[in-house]
Amino acid sequence: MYISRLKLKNWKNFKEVDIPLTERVFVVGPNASGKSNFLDVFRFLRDISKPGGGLQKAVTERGGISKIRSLAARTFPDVEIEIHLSEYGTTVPLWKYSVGIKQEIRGYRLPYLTQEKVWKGEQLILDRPDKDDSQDHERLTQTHLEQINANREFREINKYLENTVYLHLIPQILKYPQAFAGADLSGDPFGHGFLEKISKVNEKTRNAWLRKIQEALKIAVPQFKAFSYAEENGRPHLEAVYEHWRPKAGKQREEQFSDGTLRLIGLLWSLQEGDGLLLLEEPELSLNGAIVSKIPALIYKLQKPKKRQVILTSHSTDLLNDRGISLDEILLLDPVQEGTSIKIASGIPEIKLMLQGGMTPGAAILPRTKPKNINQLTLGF
Amino acid sequence: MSIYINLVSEDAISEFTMMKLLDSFASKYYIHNTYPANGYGYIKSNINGFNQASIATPFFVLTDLDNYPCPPELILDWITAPLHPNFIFRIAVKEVEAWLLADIEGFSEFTGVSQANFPANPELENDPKQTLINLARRSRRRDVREDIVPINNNATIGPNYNERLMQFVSDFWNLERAIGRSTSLQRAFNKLDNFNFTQPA
Repeated sequence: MYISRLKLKNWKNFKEVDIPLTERVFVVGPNASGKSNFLDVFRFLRDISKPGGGLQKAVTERGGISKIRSLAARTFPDVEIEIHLSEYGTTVPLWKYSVGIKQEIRGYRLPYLTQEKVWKGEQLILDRPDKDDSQDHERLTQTHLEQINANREFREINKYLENTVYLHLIPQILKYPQAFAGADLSGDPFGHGFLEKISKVNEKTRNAWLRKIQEALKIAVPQFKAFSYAEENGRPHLEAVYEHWRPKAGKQREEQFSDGTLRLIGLLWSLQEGDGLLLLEEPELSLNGAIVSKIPALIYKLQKPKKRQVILTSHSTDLLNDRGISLDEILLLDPVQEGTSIKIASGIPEIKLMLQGGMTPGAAILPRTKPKNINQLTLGF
Repeated sequence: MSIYINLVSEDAISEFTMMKLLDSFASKYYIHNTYPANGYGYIKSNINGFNQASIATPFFVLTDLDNYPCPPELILDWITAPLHPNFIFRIAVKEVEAWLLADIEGFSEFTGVSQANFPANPELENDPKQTLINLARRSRRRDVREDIVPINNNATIGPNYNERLMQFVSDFWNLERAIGRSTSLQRAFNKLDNFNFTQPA
């Protein structure tokens, strides 16, 4: 399954969105146009669905409804999210899930549901608020999606959303985890527990995945020779051997790896592990352009057998120069007066014509995401 | 009603000069998207794309003649499909810097270099960028000199070349004077003056 349509109302900087999504999605846009906020919709649904999660926690972790609701929201103050789930390769919805949230105007100002609906195909099977909700208002502080007792009819949706993975690996956090000790963020978005995650995979699978990564690193990283997993005093490590003029030179540990090497390891690992929705934040960071240009095809190759959806954000021309990317797969975020609007690149006539004239998606689209007066950026200094 | 126009240029200073040129038509043009390249290669390889896209929205492309003997030869080499009426393709002879040098009075005032040192016909300069840099080298204004002149032989332009020249274009460059000494600028001006947007069928 994959998310084939997304509708938003008042989610962060998106006042109103209704767009089809493909199995592979590239989100582009200027700085602060809301690329991460877009990905956060899916993380939010995951946080509701996962064990130990739930609506209250998902909202609180984001600083309350006032931080989630669009500043442009006025006459209609509810935050609404609707997703359609379809079989991979088709667009007919198997499921639709919709949730609306508001904040109590008195008391603890808890978030509560204004609605929660589930359709199986086109048939409405859950329609809240229902009779029980009107008798007991407290019930509206929890979704049925998060409750095992209540989501039996549509647990498939819960399981799908729970498996969403977000990755924005920050090499320094992985290298110096003790320096970034603090509350664990839900879903480990920045790679704090990346090594633990590797350690939890059974040995045979782990070795198979690491071997594939090793082969890729041998090509991508000059002088890189071999790569292995090791444990010391119960703590997991990655070790690498580099070709060296001194043959007995010691192994290098993750804290000595370059930022680019670690980000590449993170990317290649996350593409192999799991089969839920994968959200990647700027996978091009720290990587050489020639490597970046291979990412779209690599994602395609690894997502297809698993029927897994991948949504990524990017600023990279190298990445979007891949002519194998369809304009239907590119979402262009455009900040306008009232928040940000989302356009599918194939819906913009001149972009389509540029491609027909032989341009790459990157050359046709990315110039539109740069600031209008970029040449004046340095004038004030 | 304004014509929404897209700009394709070789570098920041070309783009800025195009904007200034469009400004001279008051509200006739409104700049939509800009596609700044790094050199001519990008324009050459994407020219069919921009030409095609002109069906939907007009494009104004400016490139330098550089080493081609004359504009028709460049066109013959670059362009394979017929140009759409909404596609404004202009060539600066030999570089956009010649358009800037064509306002001798303005550039002399900007640099403090005597007008006597300027070429009377900048379009005949073999390497106008170098001519401009050599003039800036004589400038009594230290900031102008240091920004425009390369720090040593291993760089081709100064460390703040584009921004300093943009300041010239915005505060000193006089289009009328420049047109008087540059045929390619005159032609670009006339083309923009006579241009009307052809709506897609």
